[in-house]
Amino acid sequence: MATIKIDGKQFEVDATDNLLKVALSKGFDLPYFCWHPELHSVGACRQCAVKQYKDEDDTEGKIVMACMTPASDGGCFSIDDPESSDFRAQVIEWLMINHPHDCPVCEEGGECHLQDMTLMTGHTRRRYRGPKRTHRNQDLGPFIGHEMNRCIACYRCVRYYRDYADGDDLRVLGSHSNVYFGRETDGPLQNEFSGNLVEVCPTGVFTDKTLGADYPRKWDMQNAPGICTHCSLGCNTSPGSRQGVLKRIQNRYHGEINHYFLCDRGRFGAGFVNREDRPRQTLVRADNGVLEPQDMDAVLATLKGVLTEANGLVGIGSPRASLEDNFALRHLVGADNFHNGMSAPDSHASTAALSLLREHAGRLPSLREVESCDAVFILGEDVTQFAPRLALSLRQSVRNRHHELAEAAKIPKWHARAVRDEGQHHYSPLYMAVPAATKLDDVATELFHLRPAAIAELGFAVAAILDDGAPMPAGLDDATRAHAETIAAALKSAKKPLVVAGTSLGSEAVLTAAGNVMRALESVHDDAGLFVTFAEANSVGMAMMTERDVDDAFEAITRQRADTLVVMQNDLYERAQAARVDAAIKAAKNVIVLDHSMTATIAKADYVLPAGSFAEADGTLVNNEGRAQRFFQVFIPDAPLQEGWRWCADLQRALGAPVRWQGMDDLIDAIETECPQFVGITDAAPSTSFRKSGMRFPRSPHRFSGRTALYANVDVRERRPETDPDSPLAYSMEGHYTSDQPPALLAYAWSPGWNANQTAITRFQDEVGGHLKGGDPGTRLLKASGDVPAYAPAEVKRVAGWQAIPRYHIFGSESQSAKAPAIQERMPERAWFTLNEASAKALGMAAADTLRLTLDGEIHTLPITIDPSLPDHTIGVPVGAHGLMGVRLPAEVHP
Amino acid sequence: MEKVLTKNIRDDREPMWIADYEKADGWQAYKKALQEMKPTEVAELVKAAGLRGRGGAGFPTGVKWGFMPRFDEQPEKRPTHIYMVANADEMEPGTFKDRLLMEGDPHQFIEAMAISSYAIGADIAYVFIRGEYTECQRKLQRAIDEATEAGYLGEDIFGTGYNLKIYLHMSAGRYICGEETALLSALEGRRAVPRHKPPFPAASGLFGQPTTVNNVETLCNVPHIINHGADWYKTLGLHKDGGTKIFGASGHVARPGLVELPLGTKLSEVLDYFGGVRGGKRLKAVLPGGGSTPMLTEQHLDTPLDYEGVGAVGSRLGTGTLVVMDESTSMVGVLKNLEHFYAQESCGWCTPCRDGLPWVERMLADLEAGKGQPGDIELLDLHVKLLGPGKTFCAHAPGAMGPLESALLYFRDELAALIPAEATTLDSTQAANAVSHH
Repeated sequence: MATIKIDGKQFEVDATDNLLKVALSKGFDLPYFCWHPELHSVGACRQCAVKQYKDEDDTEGKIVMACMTPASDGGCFSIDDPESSDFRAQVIEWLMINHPHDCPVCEEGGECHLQDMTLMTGHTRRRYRGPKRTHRNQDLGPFIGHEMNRCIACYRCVRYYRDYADGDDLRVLGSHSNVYFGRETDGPLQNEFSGNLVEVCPTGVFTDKTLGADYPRKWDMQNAPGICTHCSLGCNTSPGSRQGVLKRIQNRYHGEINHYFLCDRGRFGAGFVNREDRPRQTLVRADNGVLEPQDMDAVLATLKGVLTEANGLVGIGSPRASLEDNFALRHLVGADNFHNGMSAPDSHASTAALSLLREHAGRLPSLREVESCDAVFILGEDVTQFAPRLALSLRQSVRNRHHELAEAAKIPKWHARAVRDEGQHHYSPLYMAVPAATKLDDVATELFHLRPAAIAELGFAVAAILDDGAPMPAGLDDATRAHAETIAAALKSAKKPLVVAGTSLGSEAVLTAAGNVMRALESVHDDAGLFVTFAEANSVGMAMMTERDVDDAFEAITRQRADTLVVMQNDLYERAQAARVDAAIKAAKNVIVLDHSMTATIAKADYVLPAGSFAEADGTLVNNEGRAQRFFQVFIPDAPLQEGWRWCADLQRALGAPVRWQGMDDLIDAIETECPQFVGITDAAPSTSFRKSGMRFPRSPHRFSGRTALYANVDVRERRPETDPDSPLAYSMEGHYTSDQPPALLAYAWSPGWNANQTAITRFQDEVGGHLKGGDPGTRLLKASGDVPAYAPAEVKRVAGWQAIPRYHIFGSESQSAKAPAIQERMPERAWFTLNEASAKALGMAAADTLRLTLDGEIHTLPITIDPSLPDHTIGVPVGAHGLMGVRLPAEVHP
Repeated sequence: MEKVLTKNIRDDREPMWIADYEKADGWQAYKKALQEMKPTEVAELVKAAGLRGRGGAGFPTGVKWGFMPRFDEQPEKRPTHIYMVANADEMEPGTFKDRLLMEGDPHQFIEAMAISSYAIGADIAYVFIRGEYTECQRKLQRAIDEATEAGYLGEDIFGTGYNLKIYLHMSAGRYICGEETALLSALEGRRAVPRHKPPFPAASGLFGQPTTVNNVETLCNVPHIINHGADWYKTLGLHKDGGTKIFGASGHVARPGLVELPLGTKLSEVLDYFGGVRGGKRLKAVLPGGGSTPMLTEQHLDTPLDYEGVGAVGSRLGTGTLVVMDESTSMVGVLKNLEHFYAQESCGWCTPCRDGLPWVERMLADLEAGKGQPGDIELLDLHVKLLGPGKTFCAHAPGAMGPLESALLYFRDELAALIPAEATTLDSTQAANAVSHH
């Protein structure tokens, strides 16, 4: 700790921080551009100039850049000093020499850091008389708009893109006053985290193209605290809407999970909400076989009959739907008839992975903590494609070596370029045992391209080397033993080792091996961590709810134990091979689907009830670390579209059965009562009745405009504000909005003078880049038991011949985002089977030849492409909207 | 006067190759250093001689070497590599002295690099050389090859266990590469953007390893200090700063060129060597050490040209190569030309330099074109102040402000007179409105 003085006031600060971070954390309005809490200091923009005095008697002082000045004990500084504030205004005048005055037509206007800083410095009058330089803009793909004329050359974009996200195709070109931030040629930005440029850029150079098509101002948007539904990590989002149209996804700061950054699937994958082809009416299959809209009450009346006459109900839930929606369906069909909606292999893997979480509940680092792990062993997961945001965190973890070297060289941790110059290409160990090349390979210490069984074997061996008590797999070859010894040594000597495994390969053996590694590591290390990835946003929640999977549901139908199928937000064709789904649907007398998107299952359904997506509903999701998090309705949909759980309640009422819940609070109580494994979800966010100063919490900024005119074309009288029966949020700009906002209810970030999302959030943090005041939201449901788990036997079942394994793609493998137009543009153009050269030769094939592959009795035909990284006799199968759906992998095949 | 640095250089510039160089006592200093002296003793000797950097900044070379970490006590802590880098990216406007040394006596320079590398414990040395200096490159490469062949470079040199390799790196251009940390960035294959100090290159330099960067002329002094000692070296200078200096002159002198003279020789005497101001005209101003040194005028003709002497009259010795302007010179033209150069050569990293210098250039262009407005001179004053040391990221913009500051001091009336009497101050909005009313 250190004591410093800023403008005569004394502060206790962390001496290892720089002055800018300290000043912002203490609430000072000090302008800056090139600094960012995650990118740290480089001293480029010269905007954060302050006066530094030698001591209290020094009246002269000298101008220093706060970002490059350590907050050393005894430091004496002034922000208000006229010389430094004049200098700061002058810096803005310089930056404004070339900045176009196009704010009125700029997407960034109203949440522009440059606007904020210009106002903050007080620069108003332009003295430069010359022309402005102009640039040609580039087409950077479907995600990001590019308007280089607005650039103020703060270098944040390239520092984020290249130095933080390890992207290669955005760079600074040119020099002097003609620097250019772009690609060498037009084309989509290739990095999976490019969308963060939108928020990292302090002005309107890089903008959200999906928003830019038809953008409202930030102050005109209606937002809600959201949870991303496109993978299992549970990144916090802030979806923004205007008049019932979802406009964009912004990052919502969570100090333990995503902090400032999202992946592109999360940011640009929500476009499915606005699709024209979504079911928005209650639909009934007419006699001519076509689904036709029918009045909601009439459909409910019909369904009353259907359900009453049903000879047994089968409910299929969904790992992409909330606990509430799933529980309501479970309640409707009965606990014994409810299924988790996962494919059989995914359900088995998820259940195994959940037991791992339970066994090591005290040692599950958050995504943020992953960044501080200094040795990582990944078993099986292609994280960039399967749990994308994790890849960005792992990229920071390997740079811990930079920080170690910098510390030894007495370079402060915030001195970003010096840390990098010192660190060079030295990375902390990252060992990856995966079936094929991944997007993380560039920072890996060593790669082992293995089939699932061999990955498990390597894992078992690592465990056995770490702890004699762990079983060694039989017949281990020398090479594998040597690899295992290297990995074990790296994990053991690390300060904070991390084991990463997950369900993507559908291999329980890999998960079991990861468990042994973790158990062995715990015996020699106090700070070992386990990070487990799952397929979908609520995979953990569904694994916790029931182990019954889609196959069990089909069996109940085809064995005629029941004849009516109720499906909640799920496309069964993603969960099992088409023939089995067809058979089940055919066997069922009635198929009722509640969903927000058009699916192959809806195409076969008898009744369709339009259910709310995340934007039109409240709910709770359990992420990969067992953290229950609440998301809230962004806008009220037009009837009859309503929450899945409301539909279930309606159906239950139609049946004349009592419904124990009226709204979210009762429903959450009911979940906790009937499913005690979910006790704690109440605390994920304040309840409906929660108020501060007697007020609700606004969804819109206080300058929200047009409220009285929005619906004037319908009725000139101003509408009453809608009342939210399910949350303490208000459909209004009115309400309680201060820096002590309950973090789970922070629909958008704004603070006086700070309109940009990533800067406004500062006032809601305990320190810049730290935790949210009042604690980062969400409740960890899994508690450490204290029991030391037993080692699993090191048994590996090998496939002798050909094996097909799943290959994922960030754009396409997740079904909801795959319906978003922007994501569709970035999906792989073609689906391929991948195999290595030798395997292709063994089949007598060459690249682009067509391979017929029988998987689970179904023939799939795709061209092949050579991926030299795959093991021999291994065929990579693209899974998802861009490839094959419903295939059961890994599988032994006979090509 | 005794020639030191240029003693081997012939008028036709054909250098002494290794046999002749050795006959002229070449490579003797290197042998002496490696066989008789410890690296720290070499560094101490250079420090005692008071050798100061000839690249422009004038930092004491021995002191700089003293910043290098030593691993004699803990050889196991020695980093993978320690680097010596010669800054041969001679791009200061009006400066061409290092070229003479490299073209005229390449072995002297390579020997100097080898001794200096030994002094700081470097095992790899790079010559970062200006891309246009192809003749230097050809000759230096031959000297390196000959020295390697002769066993002066390589592994276990003279059986002492000392290893050294010297590589030439041809710069892709940019004035900023002359800034030592920008040079290191460029050498690493990155953009030539300066680094913030601390950390200094001695702590974290090329590829993050301990590194010293020295100017060519600076290094060329080292063999002579080894051969003749610190006391001898000190006597070479006329005042406090020891040694000789390659002075040069370009611009309005009768005979532009280079000459080796004792440090501390008066400005008037140096000018006389080049035949004085061309055509018998009066001297208007002189940039004493390259484009980024504040101007001197007639009143400074008695100034001794050494670090202290020039510093005392508000300028810097810089590279010691004079740019001479006679009385017919348009000062605003000189300034516009200089500021154009510095604006173009800004790396674009920090705001004041990137966006301030083009504005300065534009104001000067306006003044020259008779489009100046009241307030322009004051705005130039403001830039001199705000583009000063500490406010910008590196010394590029402060250097660019050197000549402007001195011109605003010595030629203020001339500059102010360029503003038309009827001109009024318009801000951009007023200017736009004025246009639209027409």
